[in-house]
Amino acid sequence: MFEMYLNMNHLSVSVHLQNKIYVQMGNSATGKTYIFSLIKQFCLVNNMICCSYDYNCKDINDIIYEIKNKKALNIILFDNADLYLTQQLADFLATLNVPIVLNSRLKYKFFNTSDLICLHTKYTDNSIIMEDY
Amino acid sequence: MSLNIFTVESEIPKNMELITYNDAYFNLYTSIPKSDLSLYILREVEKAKYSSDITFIGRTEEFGSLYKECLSTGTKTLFNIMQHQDKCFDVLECGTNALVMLLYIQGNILWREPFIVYKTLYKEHCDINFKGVHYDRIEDFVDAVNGD
Repeated sequence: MFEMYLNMNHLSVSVHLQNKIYVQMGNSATGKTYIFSLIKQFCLVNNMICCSYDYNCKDINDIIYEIKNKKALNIILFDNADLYLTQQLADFLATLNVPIVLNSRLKYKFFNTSDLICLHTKYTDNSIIMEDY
Repeated sequence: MSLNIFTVESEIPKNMELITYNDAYFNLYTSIPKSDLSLYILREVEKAKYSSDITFIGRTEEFGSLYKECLSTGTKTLFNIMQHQDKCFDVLECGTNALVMLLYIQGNILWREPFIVYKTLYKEHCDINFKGVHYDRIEDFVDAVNGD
C-alpha cells in the first residue's frame, strides 16, 4: 500500500493506492505527470523506494533488471508508458505485489483487464487527488 | 494547409519525419504561440493563461509563471503540430480534451485509433484529410471518425 498526503503552500495532495496495477488515462493536463514528480520527491525525503520511468526509457530489460534488484519497493511509476511498454514488461509487472501506476491510453491493453484499476487524477485550483473509480 | 491524419506509419510520406517524443521535441524546438487558437487551447485544455512564448500561468495561479516544460503532453503535442507543419506528430499521448482540439488545427498527425468525444464547438468548419476524404464540416468528420 502507498499513501501520500501533502499540504503544501496553496496545494493539498492526496494519494492512496493498494498493491495493484493502476492505469491513468482520460484528459490531458489533469496533473498526472506532476503528481508523479511529487511522489518521487516524497519517497526520496521519506526513505521510500520508488522506481520511476518516462519517455527516456529505451531498454525494457534494464527496467526489469532494476525492479528485480530492489529489495523493498514502495511504488513503481510509468509515465508516457505508451512509448515503451511491451508485453514482456506487462507480464513481469503482473507478477509483482506493489502499487504500480501507468499513464497509458493504449498499451494498457497488454495487461489482463481484470488486473487493472482505472485511476483518476483530479486537479482543482488548490488540490490534487488521485483516486480509483 | 489541412490537418492530414494518418492511421498507420506506412501512410506517412517517406520524406516526412515522424515525431513520437512530443515532450522532448516541444521542450527543444517549440514555443507557446500567441494566437486566438493557442489561447483557446491553453484555456480549454490546461485551464491556463498565456504569459510569454516560454511561460504560462497555470490553474494554481499562486505558483506564478511556469516554464513551458510544465505544460501537459497533450498541449505540447498540439503546439508541435501547429508550429512544425513539415513533420508528422504521434498523438498517442493526447488526452480526450486535447484530441478535440485537433479539429481546429493544421498539420500532420499519426492517430492510430481515431475517436473524438465531441463536446463543444469552437467553430463549425474544419479542413481535414482523413482516409482519402476531405472534410470541411466538423460534424461530418466526427461522424466519420467515430464510425457513425
